[in-house]
Amino acid sequence: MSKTELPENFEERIGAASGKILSTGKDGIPTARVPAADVLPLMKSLKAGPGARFLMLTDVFAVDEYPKEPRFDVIYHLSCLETGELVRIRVFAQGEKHEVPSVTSVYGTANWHEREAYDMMGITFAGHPDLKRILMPLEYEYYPLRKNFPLEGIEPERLFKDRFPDESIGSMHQKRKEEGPESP
Amino acid sequence: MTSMEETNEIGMAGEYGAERTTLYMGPQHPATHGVLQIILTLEGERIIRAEPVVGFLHRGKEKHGEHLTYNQFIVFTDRLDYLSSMANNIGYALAVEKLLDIGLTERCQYLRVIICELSRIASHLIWLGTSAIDLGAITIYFLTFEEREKLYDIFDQFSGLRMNNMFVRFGGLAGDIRPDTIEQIKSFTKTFPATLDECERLLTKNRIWWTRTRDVAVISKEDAIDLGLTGPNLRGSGEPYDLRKNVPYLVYDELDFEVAIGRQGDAYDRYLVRLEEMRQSVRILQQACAKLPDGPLFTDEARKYILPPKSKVYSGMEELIHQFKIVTDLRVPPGEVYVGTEVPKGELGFYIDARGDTSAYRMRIRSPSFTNLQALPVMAEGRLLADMTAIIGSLDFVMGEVDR
Repeated sequence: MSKTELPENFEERIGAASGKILSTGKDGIPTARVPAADVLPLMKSLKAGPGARFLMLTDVFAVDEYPKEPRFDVIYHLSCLETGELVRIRVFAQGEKHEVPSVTSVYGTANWHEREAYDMMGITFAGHPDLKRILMPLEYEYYPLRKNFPLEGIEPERLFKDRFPDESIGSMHQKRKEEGPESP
Repeated sequence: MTSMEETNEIGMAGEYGAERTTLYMGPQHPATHGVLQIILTLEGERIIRAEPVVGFLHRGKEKHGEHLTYNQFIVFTDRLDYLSSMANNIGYALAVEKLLDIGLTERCQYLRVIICELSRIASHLIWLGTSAIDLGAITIYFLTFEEREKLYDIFDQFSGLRMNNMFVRFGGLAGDIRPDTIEQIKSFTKTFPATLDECERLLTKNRIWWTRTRDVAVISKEDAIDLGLTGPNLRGSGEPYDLRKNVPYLVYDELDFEVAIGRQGDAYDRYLVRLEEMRQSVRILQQACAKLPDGPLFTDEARKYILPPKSKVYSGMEELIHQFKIVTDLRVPPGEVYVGTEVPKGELGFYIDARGDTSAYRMRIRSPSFTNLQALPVMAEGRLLADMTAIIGSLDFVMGEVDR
């Protein structure tokens, strides 16, 4: 992709956030990788700085690169409403808690998208006003979109035991399995 | 500030002088249009805070997308926004086609535009009927559902199903649309505006409709953009952002239509925007039906991804292998792609991270309803409880798409 196709001032702004331009995907969307610490200033400059203004944050989500390290790649899609241009910002989540600064102070829409990324992948958005699960039950213990989470799910055993303390359906099923097909 | 903090306590007299109560609306409430729960903090009838609780219909579609083959996932896109399932199919197919790098014939693109616009009208008709019934106008429901029935008959004719049609394939459609169905669409575009006029006569200057929707659920242009609203909800606030115009896909740039925008972003404006959108869809349909070129449905490169005729599969080795390859071993070359399309609810985006396998490495669905629903607390704050149905109705979301 040639430089002329990049949105106005995009390269300078990425450079100011000590990021680098990556080769674009098949969709031709300009992509940049930025260190986590510089996300917030970059978002501010992309929204209100000189050049093409990206007023709308279209999406925030993460990709799990398990078992590679760094594991989680958080992706932001920003769109410019006037020209319809789209840019993609990629950020690696940092540390034990897979932390990325929250951009809710710049884009209000990030609130639910970040909650979803937390719910599905377990990414902690530092500074989020209300980081809790959104699609899964609040007491759920796993992050279902992680690559090491099985497709068939994990039985929430604790919840199950509370509901059926002694003769749980689960244990009956287990018993039948152990006794073989002939048993009643 | 202490007085403000005090009023935050449940059971204390607040700024409207009444005791605070918490009301759980849904998930089994008929006006929530699906399994949505809203936790309302009320002072008398005044809404202090509204918190939507979503996820009751979560089926893990993104996870499924990482395990099913690309072809198998088409059927899952139907069940996102089940009121305009073929528009979702097309959005997904466009993303995969970009990865596979296959082109579409002119005829196929026009047919897809026709399908998209028919879906848009069908979806908006359901919105009009149900949101009017929520506010007590039952007549509209019968008018709109009669027209919707005609549309579903058309869907039935070419896809064999009324809902969840799954009519789109990579590189084309499951089949061609016959000339008599095109005639049926043409006659629909002739009769349908009269019904719209009838609805407008019943609602637009209706005193009750006016007071129930005017100045209700107001969202400013700045807030709407900040909250990421798309579709009629954004355009109702006055921002003319429409992917069909701004990022034209298929053959939308060859068709003449206008983007309707509202003035102040209330429920009434969004009602007007959606009505106008239906009229514009009729215009698009008329042009597309008139311009619809003859010729093949698939390009030569697309034929690799289209199932061979069943009769030949049973008799020819070549076709048998071809079918087997498509069903079990359709490998998509590596690459990442994001394609956003303008579905009736807003911008539906598919981000696919392909790594050369038969299923996607990451399948991200950017659903418009999920993002639009975030505006509900902003719209509800300070309104009366009775306005809640108007607010929910005017946002027009589908829970299948919110929860995915």
